[in-house]
Amino acid sequence: MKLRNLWLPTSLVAALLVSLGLSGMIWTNPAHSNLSSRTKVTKNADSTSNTTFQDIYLPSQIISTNAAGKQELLTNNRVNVATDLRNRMSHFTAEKAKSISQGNSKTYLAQLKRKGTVLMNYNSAISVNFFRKAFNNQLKVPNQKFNRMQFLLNDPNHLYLLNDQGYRIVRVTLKNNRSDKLRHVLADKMVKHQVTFKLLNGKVILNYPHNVKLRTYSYQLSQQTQDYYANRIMTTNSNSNVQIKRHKNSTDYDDHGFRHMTVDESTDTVNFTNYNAQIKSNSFLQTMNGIYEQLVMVGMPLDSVRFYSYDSGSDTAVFRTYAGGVPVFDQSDFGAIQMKVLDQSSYRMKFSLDSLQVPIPPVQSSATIMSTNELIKQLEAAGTHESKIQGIELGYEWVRDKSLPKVVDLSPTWYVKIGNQWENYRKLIGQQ
Amino acid sequence: MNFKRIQSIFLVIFIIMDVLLFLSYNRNSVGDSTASGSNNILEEMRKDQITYSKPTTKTHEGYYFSGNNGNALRQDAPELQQQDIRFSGDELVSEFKQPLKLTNGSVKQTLDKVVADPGLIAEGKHYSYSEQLSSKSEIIYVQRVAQKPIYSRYCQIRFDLNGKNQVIGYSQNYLEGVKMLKEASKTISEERALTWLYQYNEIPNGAKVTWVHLAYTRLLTARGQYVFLPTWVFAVKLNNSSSTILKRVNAYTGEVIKTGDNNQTSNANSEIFTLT
Repeated sequence: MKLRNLWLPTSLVAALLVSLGLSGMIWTNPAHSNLSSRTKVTKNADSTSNTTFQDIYLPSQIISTNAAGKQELLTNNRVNVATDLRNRMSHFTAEKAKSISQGNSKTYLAQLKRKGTVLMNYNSAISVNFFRKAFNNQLKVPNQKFNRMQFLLNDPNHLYLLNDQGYRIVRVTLKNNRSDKLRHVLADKMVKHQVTFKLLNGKVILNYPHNVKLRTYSYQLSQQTQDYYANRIMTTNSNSNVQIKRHKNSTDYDDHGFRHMTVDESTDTVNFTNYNAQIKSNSFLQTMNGIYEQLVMVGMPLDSVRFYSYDSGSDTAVFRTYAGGVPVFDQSDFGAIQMKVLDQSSYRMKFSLDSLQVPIPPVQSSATIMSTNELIKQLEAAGTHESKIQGIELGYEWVRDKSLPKVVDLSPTWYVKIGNQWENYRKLIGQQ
Repeated sequence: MNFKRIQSIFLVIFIIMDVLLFLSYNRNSVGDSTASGSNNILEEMRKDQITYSKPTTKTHEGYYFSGNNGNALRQDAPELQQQDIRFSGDELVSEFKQPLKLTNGSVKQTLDKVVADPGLIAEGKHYSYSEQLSSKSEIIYVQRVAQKPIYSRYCQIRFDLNGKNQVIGYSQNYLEGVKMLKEASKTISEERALTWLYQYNEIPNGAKVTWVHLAYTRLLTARGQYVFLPTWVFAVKLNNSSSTILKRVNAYTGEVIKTGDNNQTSNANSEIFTLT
């Protein structure tokens, strides 16, 4: 009798719970929400491009300092050292961070030269959150900016975060770190170039005390057509009334709404403005992720393209083509891709129609360039005073081959930053 | 009584709601798998009666490298015994003075020993047996670079068989001066390559994909050097034909690589075999 009375309320409660559970599952199901359907689209497109967030945001240089204090820039002909280091680095965690020094350039330089260390460098300051994503790591220290990370070969329990801006040194106490993994990476056969750190007009530069012998590369030039980008990025709106205006050396595409594209046919570059994107700029990680998603959306080949620098003042990120761990200059006057975030939802992107995908045998296997001191001497002799130099970097020069059509030769040379612009040193000493 | 009635009405309503919610949830998860792309394409291939074994989703690493057929074989030739040798271009053509007998089961074992003997085959340690490329009249050994086979007529040993299952001779090409042109980079997975090949309309209805290998093949020749890259090589057997067509997909970009003078045909047989 009692059971019979209870039957109805019990099944009612059960039915209610089931419906609540199902509703919950539907709501949390990613297929349902608009936000995640957007990420899914990028994910699909992403897998066609084969370049991940982690690949494009690799550190630009790896420098080891041995027990005797000899510093070397590491590259490798067979593997990408930065990728290798990222993949094989142990997944340490950390909670404690302590600021050691700030504003003292001498202490900072001494820290960069510390014996028995490995330095991982970015050209611009990155954040801790960004590092966690790029390295798939659990570094849980207060979010802060740094552009170098220093590992100690004989002390797995600490690492240093260094920031050239303000000469900041932060010591982080680690858990579960194993330095043997790091040693494994270093044990690989590497191409090593001797370097030293030096302060030039308050900026940390990498000084090459001897002549540097670097590999040369030749690539078949791949050129994407403007129709490809016109179809891909200009016809996404449902009212795809794209207006096309042809000028003498350029073509304008406008969708009367959110997107505008200009292709400059004399330089083979594209200038694309998008007023309807999710580019958040309240955190470094989110901005970088937003930028990456837009690169994937636009769909340029990203095989050899990597993050070069980010200027927080102008909200501009630069990506360059890399060959053997060294950036390529002269592809265009901005690198491979330049992305300027205009506000929360719009950006202007410049990119080159040219890309390097298929390497072919170079004419000469390597080329030698002079030491940094010699370079500064030559610049001085040609009238460029040392105090004007904002930066010096080893890079590859992008030159079209004279005998083979559609082939680009990459030969190493010096690039000097003057007036916020990178210039080939030959131009500065009047050889070009 | 009245309260009981209300309760039963509510129960019925909730049960109907549960069913509807369950259906909606189910539809969503089906929609989910459609969105994930390649599964859906594989499903479509099944509908087109294309037979294939389940492709792997693993990515690999590979290199661009260059090399050419140089002088190494000519230099090694004086060492070779029990055979008559001549060169046809860079290709070494040899006829054994005494045909080698093969018993059916041990083709690989017998020839492995021959290939490993520097007195019989030059540079043999760089080659390995390829069951898939071999046929009834020809046993093929392929050269290997960076732990992967090269499927190309420029780097093979082809043993000729007569009707009595005897090896009468061989022809050999050897790739030397191998230089890595770029650091290792990630390839796409077999599944992705298969779906690309299908989407480029390269697998006709009713065809059978008999095998798939990740192998280096030649992309182009530049400055007198052959340039190789990792490719997914698919053997496609057409519905009413006994011949197998090899197709290759660029394992970096997913593009179908065309073969021939003006890059017209997706059939890669002429690139991989010496056709007579």
